[in-house]
Amino acid sequence: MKAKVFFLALAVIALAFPRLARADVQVGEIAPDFTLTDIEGKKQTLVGQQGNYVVLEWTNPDCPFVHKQYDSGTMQALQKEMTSKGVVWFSIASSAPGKQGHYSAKEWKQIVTDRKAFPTAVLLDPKGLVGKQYGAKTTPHMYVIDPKGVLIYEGAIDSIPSADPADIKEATNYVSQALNEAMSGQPVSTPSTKSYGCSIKYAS
Amino acid sequence: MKKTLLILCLVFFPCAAQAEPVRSAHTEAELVSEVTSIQPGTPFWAGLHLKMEPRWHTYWRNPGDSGLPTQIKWNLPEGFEAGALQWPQPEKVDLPPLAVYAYENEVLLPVQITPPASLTPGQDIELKAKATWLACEEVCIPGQAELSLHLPVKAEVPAPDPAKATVFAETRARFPLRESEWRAEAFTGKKQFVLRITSPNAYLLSGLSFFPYDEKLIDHAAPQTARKIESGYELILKRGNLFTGKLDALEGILVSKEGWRGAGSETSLEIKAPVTPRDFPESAGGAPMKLGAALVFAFLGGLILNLMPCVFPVLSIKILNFVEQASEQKIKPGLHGIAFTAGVLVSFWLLAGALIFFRAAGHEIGWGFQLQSPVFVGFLAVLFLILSLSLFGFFEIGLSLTGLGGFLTGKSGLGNSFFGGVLATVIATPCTAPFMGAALGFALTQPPAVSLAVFTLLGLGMAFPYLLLSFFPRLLAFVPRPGPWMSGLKKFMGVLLLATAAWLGWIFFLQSGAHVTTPGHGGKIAWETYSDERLASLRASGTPVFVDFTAAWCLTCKVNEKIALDQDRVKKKFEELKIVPLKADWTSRDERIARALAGYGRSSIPLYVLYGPGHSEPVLLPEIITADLVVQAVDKVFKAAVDEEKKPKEAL
Repeated sequence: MKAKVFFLALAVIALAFPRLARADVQVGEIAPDFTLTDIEGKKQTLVGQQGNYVVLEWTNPDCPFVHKQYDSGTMQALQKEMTSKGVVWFSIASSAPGKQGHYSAKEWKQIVTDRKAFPTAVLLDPKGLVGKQYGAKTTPHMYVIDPKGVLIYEGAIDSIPSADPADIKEATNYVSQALNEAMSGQPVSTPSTKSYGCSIKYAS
Repeated sequence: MKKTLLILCLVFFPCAAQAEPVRSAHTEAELVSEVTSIQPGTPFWAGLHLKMEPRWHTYWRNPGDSGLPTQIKWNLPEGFEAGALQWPQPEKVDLPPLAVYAYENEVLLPVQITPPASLTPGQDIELKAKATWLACEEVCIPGQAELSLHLPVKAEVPAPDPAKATVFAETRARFPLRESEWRAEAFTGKKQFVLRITSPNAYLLSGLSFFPYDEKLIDHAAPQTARKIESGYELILKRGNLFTGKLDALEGILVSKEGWRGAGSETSLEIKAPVTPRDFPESAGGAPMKLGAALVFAFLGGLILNLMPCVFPVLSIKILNFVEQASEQKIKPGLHGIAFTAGVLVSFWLLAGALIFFRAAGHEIGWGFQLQSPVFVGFLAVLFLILSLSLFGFFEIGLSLTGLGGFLTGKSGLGNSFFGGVLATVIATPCTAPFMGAALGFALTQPPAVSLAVFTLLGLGMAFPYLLLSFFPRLLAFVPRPGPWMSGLKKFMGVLLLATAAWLGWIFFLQSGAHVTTPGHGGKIAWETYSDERLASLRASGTPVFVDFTAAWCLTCKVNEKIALDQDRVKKKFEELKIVPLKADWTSRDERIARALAGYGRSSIPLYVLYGPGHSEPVLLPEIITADLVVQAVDKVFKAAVDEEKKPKEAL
């Protein structure tokens, strides 16, 4: 009995420790692995994509900054171009249940169809664990990983932070630039930028 | 309605400025003017006034982790010039794990407009602008509006618009102070900035928070820890992981709850702090230790406190006490364990309370400070002398000095156990154990609630062995049974207590008597006295340095010196490699040494810092060292430095 009380007390103390906070990833280092279920119910990992370029796109279909990229067709065009070159494109949704941008797998399939998107897969991260692991802050927030698993770009989708689609034609698309440079054997000229957009609606 | 007014206005001169508010994205936007007319050639203030619905916010010039700054594009008549938007102090809005800098409820972003001198009185001027902003509650909506403002031109000095006087005055009160006697400078490591602000006037500040102008500079959501230094403050900021380039200056505003020029003055200060690189041990201090890790280390540190030389006498006495209690059937050991734990915890809380209080009072103190007070030391020395005499059997404390010493030798009563815990804590504190330094450094820079949590875990760790023994009396079987040996043990304790008393007496002598310069240990390492300047000049020339942070009252330090630093091997190694030994003596309270410790993320000693040749990062040695450990650490640092030299120099 006493032993039980004692270990119960220990357990309470142990639980009182807050969980360790997020650890951001760093360009030039190996991107951390993750396992997430996609909207087809399939488990997807980063390790499983070794040998391919991987793009991680944090997304929220109701965010005006995401609309800016999709309503203009920019994001879909880039997805189509890059996936045809063998790039694996994961769109990741880290919105928590009950918050903006949280949709079921079935709803997501409709969204992908409606917005005519071409991701390799849409991954659901409702607990926000992978988002926090990567330090993803906004939608969109882009990460590019090379075939060795090294993060080669992190940050904004393009060079003009605004919600106005008219700015896209003036902007440099950093994801396209990073992939094209890396594929032609050049160093990535802009390896990290400050992402812009809506805050990711993480579970609070 | 407004249109009609405008027409009436134009017809029946003179009348006030007219503008139409526009609603967009849960926000009402309007161009406003501080004055009711324009005088040719005289600059005046206008601005963009945004009124957000409850819970919605718009962004500062650096929006933080998400969001966009509000922007304005002017379309002004020929000859007019508009200055930049002026940004009053924003709020930091926490959206864990993110943070943004924003305005809630409403904000006026003033702009200075300079009209041309060629205007003729009687003209009507229309100022037009397109404003764009992002309004967010939980969700975000971009807002935009085409705005305009009509103002008549008059020859006389413009009269202020009474309807706008309040909002302009309130906004100006939230502008950062630009000219002041505050000086700012910053130091940068790989993962942190230390922002130091000093002023000849001792203004009291609190709740310091830095809002950088550059978006990539710092981790916006990371806690910013402030500490009081001589004639100012230091703020530790976590570097943003996106920021990689060279940085000349930290620019932004610093916010304090109290004004920067005394009570009621500006609460934000614009700074441009020149940045110099500095070696930081990246494990400690600025990239502040995570709360969870700090609590774990506090618990471990508390556990290890029991093994420290200065707490050893009490540990022994309490074990003796447990033996006695186990032999008496009526006493419940578990209750004693809890009472003892309570004693330890209450002491730690009192200590934490005192530390928090002193810190708030602006004192610069470190752990072990109570042993820096001669009165306290003298009192302890006398107490220990009396206790040791009692243990030698000169008199029975239980009879003659009940109130004072009863808790040590008394046979029962939960109060005794409680005070046993108190005494153990008081004696243990100066000997900060491994791990504890960092945990304390963390605690002292944190809000009171976090400090309390750390101290609580420290206390729990220290009381843990007693709690364990009392809940599992069977373990007492490993403790020898009472018998004649006990009187021998008592005498042995007496010797320990006497030695402790003598040691305390020596410290008392050092503290109160003529200041004895720290003995140079004849034939041992030739220590130089530490100073920031000396260290900096040695580092600048790439000379290897070993710094010993020590004090006469730090028994752990003394033991380390005896068994490690005073050994020939160490001395030879230092001489062979031309390592300059510096000794920082903290026997009397010295703010400069406290600050140097804080620079390494510590508030306690012992601390041993080793700088290798060249410009390598400093290495912190463990708090308990041996001669081998020091020699190995030195070899490792030198080898690393040599490897660094051999590396092909890449074009940088």
